[in-house]
Amino acid sequence: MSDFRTESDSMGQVQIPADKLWGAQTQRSLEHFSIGNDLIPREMITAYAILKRCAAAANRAEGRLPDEAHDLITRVCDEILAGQHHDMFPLHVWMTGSGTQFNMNVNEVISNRCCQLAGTPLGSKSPVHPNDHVNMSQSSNDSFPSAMNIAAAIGLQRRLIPAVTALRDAIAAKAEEWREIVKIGRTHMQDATPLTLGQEWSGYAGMLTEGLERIDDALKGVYRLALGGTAVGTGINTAMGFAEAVAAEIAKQSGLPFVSAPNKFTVQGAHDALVQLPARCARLRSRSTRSPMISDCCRAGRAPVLPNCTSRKTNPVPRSCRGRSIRRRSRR
Amino acid sequence: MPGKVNPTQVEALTMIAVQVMANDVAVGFGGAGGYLEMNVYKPLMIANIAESIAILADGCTNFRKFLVEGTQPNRKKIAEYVESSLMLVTALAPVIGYDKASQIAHHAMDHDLTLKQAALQLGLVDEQTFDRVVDPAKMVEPGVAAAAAG
Repeated sequence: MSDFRTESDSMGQVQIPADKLWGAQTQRSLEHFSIGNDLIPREMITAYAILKRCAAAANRAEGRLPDEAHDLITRVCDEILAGQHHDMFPLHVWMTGSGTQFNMNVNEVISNRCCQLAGTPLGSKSPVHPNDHVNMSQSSNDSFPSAMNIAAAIGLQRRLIPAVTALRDAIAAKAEEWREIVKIGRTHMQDATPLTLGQEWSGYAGMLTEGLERIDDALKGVYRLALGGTAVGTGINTAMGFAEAVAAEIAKQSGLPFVSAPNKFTVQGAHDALVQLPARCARLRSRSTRSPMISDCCRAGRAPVLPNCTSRKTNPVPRSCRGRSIRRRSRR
Repeated sequence: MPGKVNPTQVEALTMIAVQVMANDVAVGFGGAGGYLEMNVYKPLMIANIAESIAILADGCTNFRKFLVEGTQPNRKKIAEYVESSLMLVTALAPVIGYDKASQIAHHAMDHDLTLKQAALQLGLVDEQTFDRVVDPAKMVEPGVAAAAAG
């Protein structure tokens, strides 16, 4: 058995390592865009597997995709969703700005894995063709932005929101526990009037609650998918009703309220819903940075501010540190 | 340094904060960079968004598990600082006026006295009124101390 096999695309033949499931276009991207260490985020593999599975379901329902191809694509997507084949997605972030090479990476891997399952040679593109079947009714230009939205929404719903909510709840529990402890409040890092430790921490919990509300607002736009717009938003080469059908399938598969975007030109020309996401996260971050920084200051040892709290396993603050004399120095 | 324990979770989370804000800048430029029918900064955008979500989520989880949940107040220190704070003088302002209250605070600071010692030494308020008004527990919610002894 040779270490390489030959596959071809519209530009000619390409040599591909024999044990890899990707095809000619992925190999070309690897050769021309192996830049740095950043790979396309793994979250996009999962998002694309959901997308391709749902596109196959919508295409079969319309009678466009043969049952055999549908069944094989579904099976391979389920394998990917179960964590298999992730090493077959080697492409780097610094590629074409449309993400086309990654879409083709997905199409080629699914096609070749279908070949393996069907007992046909890798690269034969039969019984499942990367473009004609896996990419049916789609273009990179509508599938990549849709996969971005799916990846972002899943990340927020399954990962970020639960983590921030748990942190908020833990802080709120401390606020409740400490609601009677009177401490000295500080402004300009100097003594001001008293408040309770519970009041102070309830403020931190509230900042996180507001951050979560902003993320929730931002998600509305992320649920609008570009699929069905194909190359420039007109929907050429896609069937009537595909956009709505595939969005409904993705909503069902992911359990998240995805819909077809009312205007495909809008969501292919710009990704404003995604643009505001990290800003919302950053806002959340600037909020939650406050609490650690403040608690950091307040538990500093001999340093300028106040050892109000200790965390687990931390040392008691030296007795010699008299707050008042320190404050007097800092005032002058 | 033997026994030294540093606020490492705090430092990790604040570094994450900086990275997330930097990612936001990249995504903002990317989002502004579309030409005609299509934006062509998509891999850049999703790479930064995915990283922000991942490090923010993991950072929050670790910060909660390894810092927030184990945090205990140092009640003794807290009480000491409350008692020694000259800014409790604020409660006296509605009773004896802002200027006299300031005078007490400065006198305490300059002569290393407690607030009460300073107040009584200057004769600006009687002990009973001082004890009634300068009560930190009463200073954590809206309310104005009255001048009359109560």
